[in-house]
Amino acid sequence: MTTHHRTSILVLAALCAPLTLAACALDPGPEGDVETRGQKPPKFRTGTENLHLEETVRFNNANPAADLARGQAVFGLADDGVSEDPSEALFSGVSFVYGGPVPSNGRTCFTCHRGPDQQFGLPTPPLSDTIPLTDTLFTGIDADAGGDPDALHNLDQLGLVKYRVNRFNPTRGDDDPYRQVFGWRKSIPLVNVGFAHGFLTDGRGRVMFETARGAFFAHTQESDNRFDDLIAARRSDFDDMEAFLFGLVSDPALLALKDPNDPNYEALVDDPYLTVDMMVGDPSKELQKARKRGKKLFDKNCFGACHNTPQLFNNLANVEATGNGDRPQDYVPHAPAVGRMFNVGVAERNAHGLRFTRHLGGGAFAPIVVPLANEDGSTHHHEVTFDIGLAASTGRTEDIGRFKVPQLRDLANNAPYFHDNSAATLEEVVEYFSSCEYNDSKDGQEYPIHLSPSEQADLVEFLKIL
Amino acid sequence: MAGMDWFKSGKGPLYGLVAVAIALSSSTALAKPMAPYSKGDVEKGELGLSLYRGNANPFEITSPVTPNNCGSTMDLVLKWDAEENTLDVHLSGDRSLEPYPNLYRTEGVDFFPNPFHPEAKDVEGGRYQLWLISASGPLLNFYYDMNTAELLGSELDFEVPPANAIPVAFPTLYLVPTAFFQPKNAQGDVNYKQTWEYDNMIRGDRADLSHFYITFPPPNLCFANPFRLDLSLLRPYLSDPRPASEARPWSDYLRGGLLFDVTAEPEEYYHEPPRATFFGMYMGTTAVGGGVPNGWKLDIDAAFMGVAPPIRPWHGAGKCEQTFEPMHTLPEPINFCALMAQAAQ
Repeated sequence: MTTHHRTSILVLAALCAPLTLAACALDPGPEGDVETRGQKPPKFRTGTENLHLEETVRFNNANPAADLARGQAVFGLADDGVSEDPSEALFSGVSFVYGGPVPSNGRTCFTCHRGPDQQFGLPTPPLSDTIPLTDTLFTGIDADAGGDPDALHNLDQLGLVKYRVNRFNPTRGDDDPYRQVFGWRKSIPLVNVGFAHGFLTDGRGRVMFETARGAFFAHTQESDNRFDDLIAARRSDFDDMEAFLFGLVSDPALLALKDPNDPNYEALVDDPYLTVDMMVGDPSKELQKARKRGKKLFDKNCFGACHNTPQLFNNLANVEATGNGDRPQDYVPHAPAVGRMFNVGVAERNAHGLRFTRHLGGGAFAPIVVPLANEDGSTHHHEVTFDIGLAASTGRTEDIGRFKVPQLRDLANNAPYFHDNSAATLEEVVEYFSSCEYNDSKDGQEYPIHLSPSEQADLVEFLKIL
Repeated sequence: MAGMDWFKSGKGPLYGLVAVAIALSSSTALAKPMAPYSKGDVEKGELGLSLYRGNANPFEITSPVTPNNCGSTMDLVLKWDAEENTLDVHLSGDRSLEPYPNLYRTEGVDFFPNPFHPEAKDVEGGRYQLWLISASGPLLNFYYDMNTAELLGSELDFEVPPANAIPVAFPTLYLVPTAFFQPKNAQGDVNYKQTWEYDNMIRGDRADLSHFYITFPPPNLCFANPFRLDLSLLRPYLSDPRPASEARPWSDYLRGGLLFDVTAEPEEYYHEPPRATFFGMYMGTTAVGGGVPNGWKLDIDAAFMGVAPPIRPWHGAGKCEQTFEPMHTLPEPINFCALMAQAAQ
């Protein structure tokens, strides 16, 4: 691009910026209560956030006595470190809590987190291009979807799994809307998962034990019955698996962030970009400059707002999920969420046009209406038309559409993006964050981003090397 | 008052409507609730929230009604500084509490005697305490008779484990109270302040004692399913207060997530060493993100079982009447021992 052309584009962008801003005027959105529509939300953001959140570089550590090899086996990853071995990874057997034998459908953790070649996530859709339809990923689909006719298309074509987030809450009846509410969500790549503050796309998994337990309940059998006694009998396996998962890192140097006594800890905290190699791939001068500009844009628009964890670039705010250490992971005192979740408008956008009504069987569907608590104590009966995110776990209106801020290392290899795989490329991601959909979103209003096309291109170049 | 900026910032239109509604219904001018906030960290920081009736009720607690408190709330602000070794607590409220209250319960209706929770049935000429409660107590071993499956007590009740006992571990909470206080006037306005030593959280009413532990173990193991607490018969267990030498630092409480409870206590100690009485005037919690909105309550089953969502509407909301949080049992308790015996045949 010539200097003249670039200048023209910048001038055009500058002229258009006010128009863009004007076009992003507040839209009350479909979820607002009648009496609150059009009103600016209150300034304080603590409404549903954990009051013990701290901006502290602090991560969970696995049990040092845990057996990594055993954890790998329980995960379902073979000794070769690449392929699946289900021999130690299936949960079946007689369970008093379940009310009889728990039948395994053959799925393991590996089924949806397919090894290092896929960053321990799923490949790019369509999945059937690389995974045969005879794989337990497909043959076990009713464990997640319970016969939902949308499930196979959404899994194969979009890489999305149906999650009924409170499916295994026995204190709520079968027809309780909290038992029925669901989201279509990706299987998260697990590389660097040990640096997360809250697990799963909405952060509702406070610790790895309950996250893994939920996965075994949800994906390995078709009923809504729990089998806690089987889990308890293999409790140490969960510590082992956590140790294995926390060892999945994009760069071993990052592990120093887990230990404040590590000699490299301070340096990694003080220079948030220390492990980012700006010269990777022997870049041209022009590319070097683009990366530098992109880094600056990232620092201002992304690190300064939401992606503020040094080196990892997820969100730093966290609370110690197990408190002062008196409690094991089995009894987490803090209710969701143990990190800060954001609504950036992706859920409301529902780019794939996903259906969020309850499948009644025989092709019939019914609305799901969830009673959510407003901050003044009144009840908001919310009809679900898009993924309500964290609100399904907290029961709070303020949490509609909130999801976890993902870590960004190895980002170029983690496509597609967002919780619903609605951005195929980094270019689409960056373009979204300059859109009205983002800037009108709850957190977009707080952290607005307006990048010109050339700035977007520079930012993409930087993101590619994370 | 510290935190007033946040107080002001929380006066959204909805809060205004609620306050107006409350004021109209009670014909009194009441303070608007405080939007929950926090700042700082474990070493130095501040936390503020409003306390509401029924907000974090445990099983078998009574939420009384006194002449002014139906629509009232209380505001709580805590400030701590580890370096200064202080924790300042400020509890305030307009027309929130009745001085020297007389409160009554009926045995078999809203009072069920419990050897592991000795308390006065009624309170006459009462006084108040604010309890700071950590949601993150340790696991305690409880002992059950091998033959009858009856609860014998916890590891805090026995120097050595009783013979032929089955040990079962349950998670606990621990709590420590302020000194006793009364409203500052006949209208029931409250403006109570207390300062603790950050590293020495002893009872405000008794310098020789510190926290005690509370949990809800089954009184008989046969009527409990450890994986289905919702189907189990559970009752309160309160340990004796620990000696002052075992006082915990404020950081232990803070890191574990907090609950708060203003209780009405008898004019004299009912039990020695003293514990707590289950007349809960106002409550709140930070163990649930953002606290629990007014009219809702912490779902203790959900909290113990690790399921979501952790809040439910409170059945006493909007009613100006004494409200009892029922005993945790089914209409017909399930005998899981009998079920397992059947399953084994």
